[in-house]
Order: sequence, then structure tokens, then C-alpha cells
Amino acid sequence: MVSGIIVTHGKLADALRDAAANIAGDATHLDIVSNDDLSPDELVARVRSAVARAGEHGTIVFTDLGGGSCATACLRVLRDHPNVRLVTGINLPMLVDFVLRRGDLELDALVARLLQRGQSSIQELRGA
Amino acid sequence: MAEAGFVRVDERLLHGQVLVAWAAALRPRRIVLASEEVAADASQRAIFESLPTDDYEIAVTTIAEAAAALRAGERVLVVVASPADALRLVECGAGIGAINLGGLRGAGKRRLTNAIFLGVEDLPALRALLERGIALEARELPGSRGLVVDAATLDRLES
Repeated sequence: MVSGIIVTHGKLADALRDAAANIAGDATHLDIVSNDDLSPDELVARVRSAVARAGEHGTIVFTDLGGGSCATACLRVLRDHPNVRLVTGINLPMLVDFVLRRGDLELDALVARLLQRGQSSIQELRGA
Repeated sequence: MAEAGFVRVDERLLHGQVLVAWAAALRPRRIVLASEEVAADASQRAIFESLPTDDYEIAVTTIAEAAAALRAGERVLVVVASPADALRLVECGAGIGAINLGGLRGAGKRRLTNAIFLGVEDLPALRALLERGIALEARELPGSRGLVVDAATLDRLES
């Protein structure tokens, strides 16, 4: 099973994991990190230890903003871990899909699917 | 921007507040991380230059290069890591009149605002900037309340 780590500003990671567990159930191997009150180096250390705790079948790190301290910290950790992928712009449809499919897809196939799911979930809906 | 360029001291370097909120308020053409350390480190540099951007470019430069861009009147948002680097930028001839203090932390430092903590090592550079007639303002976000930092402010921190 592919592991997941959500790294965000403020309480977003916690709230996303909570919401995903409500919809899809199992939220094991889904770690969270907040950048609240952390220096860049402290944030890198938190992400590093979350990656170290993750399973052996690859890890996807999700961040909110692409251009932010969370993504920057994750890119620094990525350099030393060939089995870790970074996906920015996390949303709930993407995360729910991750929870549902991470047992039956391998790492890169899962990343490709999540990018597609996350993007296609953004639509304008109009009432009749 | 009153001046074409804008300078911010932020040890977090390029992060969400800068790349999203300040970029939206200032609409710079380029956001420049001016740091000798990052400019000399190919992998750190690649990380910052690979961040996704909207309407601006991201560049990592030396402090002298950033000073030249400011002096040339380029519409640029320059971020430096420390008051000492801000002073170096001015000494390189940036020709700016004001500096934004955006984020400084660290154990054992004294609190100026929730985002700015200053240590004794920061004070000489800040005093030198004031002596050169540069206005210092602590302001985390474009919409947050700014705090003017003058010599009396620094005296109070030191006492």
C-alpha cells in the first residue's frame, strides 16, 4: 500500500484527513504535517521524519500551495528519497481517491491517476 | 509600489505569503531571492526556481545582482534572509528608501511582533539601515497592520 503524507499551511492537513476518513474510511498510513510556527529547517525535519515513518511501497506527499514553504520543504526531502513523489494543490476528491486506490495501484500509476482526478473534480455546476 | 522595487526581509525566503499575498498586492515582474548562499547552491537554487508561478518570474541571484535590478528601477520584489543581507543590498547600491521586515524567528530572540523576533546580532544592521535614512516597517502581510521600526524601537528591544 502506498503511503501518504499531507503537508499544509495551518490546520488544513488535519481537516482534509478527517474529511477523507469520513468519506472513504481507512486513513492509516496517512500522516499529516502543519507548517504552523515552524522555521524552514524545522519543517524539513518534520517532513523527513514523516517520510521515515512511511511504508515501503512508495510515498506520495501532498501539499496545498505549489509555491510555498510546504512545497519547498518537500522538494528538499525529495532529493534524498527516490521512492517519494510530490503532488501539489491537494483537494478532497484527490485525497479520497488516494485512500480508495492506493492498495491496488503502484506509485507512479497512482500519481498519474490522482493528478487527473484532482483536476477533473474542479467544475462549475449550475442548477436547472 | 511607491518605488518600482520592494525589499522584504524574511528568513523563510520564498513562501506562500510572498508568492501569493505580496505578489498579488505588488504585482512584480520578477520575485528575486537575493542570497549568496542559495545562489551558490545548485540544488537549493533549482528548488526555488522550479516553484510554480502566476504572473511573475522567480530568480535566485547574488545580493549585488539584486541591488543592480533595484537600482535600474525594475519592478521587482526582492527577498533577503536577514537584516545583515538587507544592509549588504543597500551597500551594493540598491538605492531604496524602505525595507519591509516580514519574518524573523529564532530561539532566544526578542519579540517585536508575532512574526518578527530580533536577536542582538540583528540590531547593528538595522541601526545602520536607519542611519542611512531607510525606513523600516514590520508587516507580515499587505493587509496586516504595519509597525514602524525606528531607533527608539531598537533601543527598547535592547534594554
